[in-house]
Amino acid sequence: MNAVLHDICWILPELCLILGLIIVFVVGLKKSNPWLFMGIAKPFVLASVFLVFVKPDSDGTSWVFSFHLENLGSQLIFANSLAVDSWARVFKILIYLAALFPLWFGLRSKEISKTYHLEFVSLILASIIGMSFLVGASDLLVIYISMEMVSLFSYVLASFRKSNVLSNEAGIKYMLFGAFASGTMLYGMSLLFGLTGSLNLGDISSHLVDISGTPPLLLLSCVLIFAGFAYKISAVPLHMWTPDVYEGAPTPVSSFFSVVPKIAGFAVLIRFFLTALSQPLPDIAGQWSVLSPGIWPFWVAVVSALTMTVGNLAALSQSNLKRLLAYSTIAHSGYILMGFVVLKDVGLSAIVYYLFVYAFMKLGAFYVVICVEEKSPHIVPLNAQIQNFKGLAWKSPLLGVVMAIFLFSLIGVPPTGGFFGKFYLFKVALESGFFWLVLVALLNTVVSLYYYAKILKAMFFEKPVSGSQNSAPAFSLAWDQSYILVFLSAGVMIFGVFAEFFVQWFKVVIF
Amino acid sequence: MELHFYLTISACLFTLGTIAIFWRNNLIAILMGVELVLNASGLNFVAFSKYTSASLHGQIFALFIIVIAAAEAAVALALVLRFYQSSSSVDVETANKLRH
Repeated sequence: MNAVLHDICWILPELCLILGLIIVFVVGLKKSNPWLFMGIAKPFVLASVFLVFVKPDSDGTSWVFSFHLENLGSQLIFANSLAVDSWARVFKILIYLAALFPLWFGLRSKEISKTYHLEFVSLILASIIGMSFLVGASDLLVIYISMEMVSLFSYVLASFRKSNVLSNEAGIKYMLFGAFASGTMLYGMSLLFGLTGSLNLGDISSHLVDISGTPPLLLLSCVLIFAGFAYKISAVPLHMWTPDVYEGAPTPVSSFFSVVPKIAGFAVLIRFFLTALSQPLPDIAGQWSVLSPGIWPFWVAVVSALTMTVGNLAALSQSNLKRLLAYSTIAHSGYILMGFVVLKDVGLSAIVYYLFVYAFMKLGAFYVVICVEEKSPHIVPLNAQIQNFKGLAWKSPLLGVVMAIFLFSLIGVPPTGGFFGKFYLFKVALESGFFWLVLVALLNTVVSLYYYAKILKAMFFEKPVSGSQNSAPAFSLAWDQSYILVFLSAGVMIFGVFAEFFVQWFKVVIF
Repeated sequence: MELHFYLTISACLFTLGTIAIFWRNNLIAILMGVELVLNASGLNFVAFSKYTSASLHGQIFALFIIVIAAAEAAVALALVLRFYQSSSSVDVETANKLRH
């Protein structure tokens, strides 16, 4: 009992979010003001970011606070089932910060009706609680439960517009793929449990040390478990739901899906593969060697190459910006996997850096789409068509310029953060001898130039479609909209300019 | 009874569930397939826990699977109901409006 009480002191951020969720609910019984829910939820999320830097003292009598994550140490709590280490901490910070923006996007959105705003805020809060357990999960049971926790809330968020047939269809598709993926992952987990006799990732790894060769059953179980993770990060072959769900879901929800669950998915995928199926090299710090199904890094590299190729090729023919950004999400998942297959800490810090930049640029691009959609007269997905972006830069210079920054970063043009993110990923892959993977990634970057440039061309060099509602002259943005857009684009640039500093800072976060 | 009997049954359940998910068009039938897949894993956990592992972790996992399957069924059926009310059908073939 005492041990449990002591362990609870390690999950302060989650407790803070749970408290916030309860208060939002209680207030929601009496009031229905979106700004009020926002005003309650936001301080709690920010407080959780702060609490990530706090840990209980070793004797449990006082608290230690430090902005240097490496000073906080790591701890396995709740019978070794949950890890609180730098890896979990940095992902918690990223998830909480990234989740603030979709909450804010929903405020002015016509798609999130005022009546149901309580549900919107509480579903997002609940799903980030699930994610913050997911990033620390070091036990198959905790991985499964927190993954289901994230998924169940996401299904409801996807079909948030109750009476809209497209939104319902998005929810159904998300749910069917998700249920199948979690079912296969669960079956894989049961096989892994049978082979190793343990649910704990560390114990699994110490059992696998004794197994030599590649037992087919072990390989099967790893493939099945990978399928569950691949669904979360929308990697090939479980990527098909992504464009449909992003198109049908309300755009603030799409922006949430494209960033926040992806981050959590990468965190748990990497923790699972590096703690259960690998072991740290004894003589070289920050490198891992693979255990029994020793061929998995190669196949993850193949999945990475396929994911970026499929995402980029399919994006070429899209005319709906939400779908296009969905395919670009798939492509970016492929790039990020590159940093993982090298099994080195430099790869992991490149991934963390890339995910930070990715959160800024993707949320920004989606927010520009939201701003344009809100000015359109009808709420149909057609509003995200590329025609509506024609001449945007002349109607609203701010929107045009920030969208250009986000797109340049998504392409990977210096000096934006996207360039350095790709640069570090390619560099670590090259240094580890994945030449073919870097070649595929470079070709993909060239391909992606075409469809991002298509948007830029529409915004800067084409006249607005005459006769349509969107040919109305300049449209103005509310103060908070311009503020968020400038903030996100400044973030993309700052991450680019101070890339070396951030990458050094992320070096210490490896578990 | 030996371990491999249980494993054979659970492999059959998993296969049948997967077949239902891929080949049935009725959303309710697909959800039943998902339940089969989840229960196949649950059976595996209990069997492995009884025959190979010294601990009860596998059986506890099976209990969690049952609870989460119930939660998932509740959410899934609610979504199917919404889908039915907006498109008067529970056939997945009618879910084809989201195409470029």
